[in-house]
Amino acid sequence: MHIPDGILSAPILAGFGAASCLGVFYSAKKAEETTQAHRIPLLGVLGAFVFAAQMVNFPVGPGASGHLLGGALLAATIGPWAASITMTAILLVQALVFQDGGVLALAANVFNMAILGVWAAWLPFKALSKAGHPRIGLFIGSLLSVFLSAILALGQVSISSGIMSQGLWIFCLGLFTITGAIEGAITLAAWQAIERLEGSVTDAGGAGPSRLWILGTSIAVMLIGVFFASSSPDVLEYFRQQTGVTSVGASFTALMPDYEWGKFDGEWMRKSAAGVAGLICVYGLSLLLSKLIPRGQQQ
Amino acid sequence: MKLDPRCALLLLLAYLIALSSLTPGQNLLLSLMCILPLLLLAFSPVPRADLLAQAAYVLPFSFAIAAVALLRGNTAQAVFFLLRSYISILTVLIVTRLVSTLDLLRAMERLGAPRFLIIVTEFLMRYLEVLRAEADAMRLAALCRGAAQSKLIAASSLGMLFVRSLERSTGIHNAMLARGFNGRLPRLYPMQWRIADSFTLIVGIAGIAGLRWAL
Repeated sequence: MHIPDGILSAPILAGFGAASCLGVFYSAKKAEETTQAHRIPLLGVLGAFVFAAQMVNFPVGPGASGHLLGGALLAATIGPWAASITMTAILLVQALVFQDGGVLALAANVFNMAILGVWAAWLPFKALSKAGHPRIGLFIGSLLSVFLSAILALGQVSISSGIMSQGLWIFCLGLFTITGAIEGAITLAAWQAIERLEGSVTDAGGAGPSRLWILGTSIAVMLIGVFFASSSPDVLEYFRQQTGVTSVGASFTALMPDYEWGKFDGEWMRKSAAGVAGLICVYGLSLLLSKLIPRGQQQ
Repeated sequence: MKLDPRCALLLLLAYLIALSSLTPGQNLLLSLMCILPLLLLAFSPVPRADLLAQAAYVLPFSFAIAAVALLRGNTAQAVFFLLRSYISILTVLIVTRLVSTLDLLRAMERLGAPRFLIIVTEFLMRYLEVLRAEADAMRLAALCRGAAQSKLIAASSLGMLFVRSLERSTGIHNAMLARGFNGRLPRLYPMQWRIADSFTLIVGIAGIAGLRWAL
């Protein structure tokens, strides 16, 4: 999702550059007013953690991978203004030190991930926290954060290059849904773990609803994602159709090849079952992780 | 003679803006604009081969876009995106090798970037090192205790790593406060804009603009 230099056109860079500048300046002003001095180390450490987490890619589809954005986690723990600034700082270091994302493209990357990504996560989280459902809010917020940021990034690339097709768009929307659901599960697990370790670090909290609700929402979102993704060929198939290149043989037998569970009739059912199974695995692992982290601390 | 970091940053941005204003089809102009970073690479004390190889790091992203253009039979567009991405990242690499990141951050602050953003970025860079040092210490301690290398143990250690990093970072911050830290990090060598910087900036921007728009 980090767009490098040389991809975006000048009008896109100018427009989003102006929006990012306004957003960052206002966020910095508000963050400086609202952030207490003793929380600055927390901003730095959380930023460093999110920075490290963004380096780990997880597979989200054939030939495609995603990584944690972290905007939702930052927003939930330090508030939206400081989260926007911390996320901007992460993007700045990534661009200047690691060349992950362009220097000029920061104009777009900051808007996508540090402004839209943070607020898309914060608003549902805040609204549902007030209603007593912070965990559902965090999950939905994380999903929206990734989904909207990614759609905007793809839109920017698409407008600048003019080469995106409808098939690629549909495929990418499916991938973003899966990435968003994974981000939601990981963010929720990390937030619960941080809350148990350092109860005072979070800005909002409270008891949440049953985990079954979160799992239910995840499954619903996954089904929607699968529905969209299955209505059109994926990006590799698209390339293959265009070029006539034959498929490359797999070196191992996958449990659910081509994201389908063979035990069911109908492609949609097979893909849905595979998606749900995958989500349950990720949710289970994340839940296990959230339980293990405090246990590790006690030891 | 060393350029003021502000001058270097402004020239970098001017060049990247000029590159981004090119449209597919202007491949000849793009090739001409490649001359500037290549000249910089040739006459700067930087590891040339390393930087040329590092710049290829960005190509997978650009390649995805170039591949779609190629599949549509638009070879010129594919080459344009690949070359523009490569030369952009190469220029950034050369500048970041010549000017330290902290100097670039100071330059941004002096050019009007929010102070709070710069402070958080500087803390983030310091705490990345704290995080790495704590992770190394925990790993060494675990190895001394004879712990097996396991992803499960690594995952369960993440929480402890967070708490330890936060404690140490808070200690560092408290020590800074005790030494009079007031939100500003004092500089031993304040930046000084010289006539040579003004001259370089004017000539540089004129050169970039001339190459981009006059040809």
